[in-house]
Amino acid sequence: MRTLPSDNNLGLENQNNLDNFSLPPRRSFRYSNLFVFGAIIFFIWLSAHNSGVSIEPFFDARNLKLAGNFLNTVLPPYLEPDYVWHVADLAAQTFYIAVAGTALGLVFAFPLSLAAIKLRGEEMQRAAQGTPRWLFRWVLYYISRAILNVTRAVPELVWALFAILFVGLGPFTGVIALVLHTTGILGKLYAEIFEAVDQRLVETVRSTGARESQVLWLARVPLTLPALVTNTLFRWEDNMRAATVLGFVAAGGLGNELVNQMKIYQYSKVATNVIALLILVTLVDLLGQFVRGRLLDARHVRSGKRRFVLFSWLRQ
Amino acid sequence: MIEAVELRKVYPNGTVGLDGLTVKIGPGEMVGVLGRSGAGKTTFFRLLNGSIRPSSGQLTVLEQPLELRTDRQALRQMRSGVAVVYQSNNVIPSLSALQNVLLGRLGRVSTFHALRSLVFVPENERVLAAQALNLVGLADKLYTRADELSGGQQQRVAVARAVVQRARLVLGDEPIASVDVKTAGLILDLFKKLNEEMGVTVLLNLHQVDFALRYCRRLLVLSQGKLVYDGAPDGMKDFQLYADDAEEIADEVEQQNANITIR
Repeated sequence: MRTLPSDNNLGLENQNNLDNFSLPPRRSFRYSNLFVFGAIIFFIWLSAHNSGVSIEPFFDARNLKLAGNFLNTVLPPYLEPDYVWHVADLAAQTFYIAVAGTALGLVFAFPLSLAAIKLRGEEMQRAAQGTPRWLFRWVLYYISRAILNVTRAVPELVWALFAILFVGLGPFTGVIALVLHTTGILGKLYAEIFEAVDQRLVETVRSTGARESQVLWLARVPLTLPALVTNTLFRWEDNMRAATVLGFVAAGGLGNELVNQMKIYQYSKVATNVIALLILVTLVDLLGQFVRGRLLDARHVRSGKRRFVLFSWLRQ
Repeated sequence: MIEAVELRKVYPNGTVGLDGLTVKIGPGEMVGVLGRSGAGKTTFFRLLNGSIRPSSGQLTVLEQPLELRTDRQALRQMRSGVAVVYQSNNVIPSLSALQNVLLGRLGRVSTFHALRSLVFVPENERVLAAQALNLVGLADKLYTRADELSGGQQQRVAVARAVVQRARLVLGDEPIASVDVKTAGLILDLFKKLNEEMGVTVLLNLHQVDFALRYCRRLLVLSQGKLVYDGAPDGMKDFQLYADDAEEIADEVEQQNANITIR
């Protein structure tokens, strides 16, 4: 007799035959989880409390009035054509700082990341490599890791203060600061990405007698290219923001103008600058999306037969 | 071709991979290696290809004694003569079939040459790769990305790579374990072709006994790191082939050890 499916039967014939089992015991609830959860909530509350987080100021009539006044001075933004062109010029400068900083950072990060990879496999061990070679490799590993850690740990602003000593105020200071910090971040990211490549594929390529450098170019790089590009583009976006902040102290560009106008209470000009920054960030985001999309979609594009074989993703 | 004497491999965690394996395989042989999981088949193959180093014993592959293997150049040279076809993960997904086949030449070309092949592959190499792909029946897939190929096609690309490598020894480490029966026959036919027409020595690590009986002229059965059977497939008839599972055969061999000749 067929029964209709319901909340407590599957609607099969001979439903009875399915009932001769007993449910395995449920995993018991760990009450200590409640304590951990409570502790986390408490620490979040404590952090907010100690930082003076409160919702009251946002509903204080006096503050609301002040905010209203502020908005009145900010809006409308100052859109005198001469000034807009000036701001566009400055935005371009910030853009150039970010591009140069990211690109140069990439150039330094790549070789450092190669030295910072922990290679796996028995052929990499001391017994197989011989002590001098093995030792050299590990010394190189720790030196490059140290360089990456130092450059990453020190913020761009601090690097900018150092760079002022050498090249004075100007965009180049900003570029140096970005290069140093970006090297640290991208170098570590690249190294981890290269390390995480499927070891079985590495072994497949090694088994043909390939050198480690050949394994890099024909296995590690093609396998991780989307991740490499995504991370680099993301750094570029982030450097856009950082280049603006660097402008506050030294590097010129949009940030410098922004902070100067703020100091002389020209809030409508500040608004113009903020809008320029918004446009800049959106632009970079769109560019990044375009490149990423092209890269990731390539696998779905049927490729024609070409004489030149680029990376398959470049063949359209 | 291959000569192992009292070959032993103990992994750092204490697992015994191989426990005193002595075997000699001559040029032009087609040998099947059977045994249950953990019997030492893969360990044996990895030793042959220099991925791991034995704990003790002697091993000579392609006339090159083991001592030479700390020399990177010698290891490279030896490896370029030994091709491996794994169960899976034989191709780099984001490269074309052409580029994957040409990976076989890495033991002989410079890093610059390898790097260039990402952008431009010279005429002669393209012809070489096309011939090899034609041999395995994938001539039309020359420019196809490897991840667009089916599992069986990827295995065949790996065979084509072995051809381009001009390997004198081909190790198939469970090459048909993850393909359907029909494709399995197709792939084993290719190994047979390499063996018969090109004189390549072939070692196949198989789980399917019926295939091993059909394709190999000599079978090795490993159990717990030891060689328990070495001989023609005919000798296996002494065992009741009630299961086509290599693991059960290995058990069977162990039980009846007294009745058969062990070399």
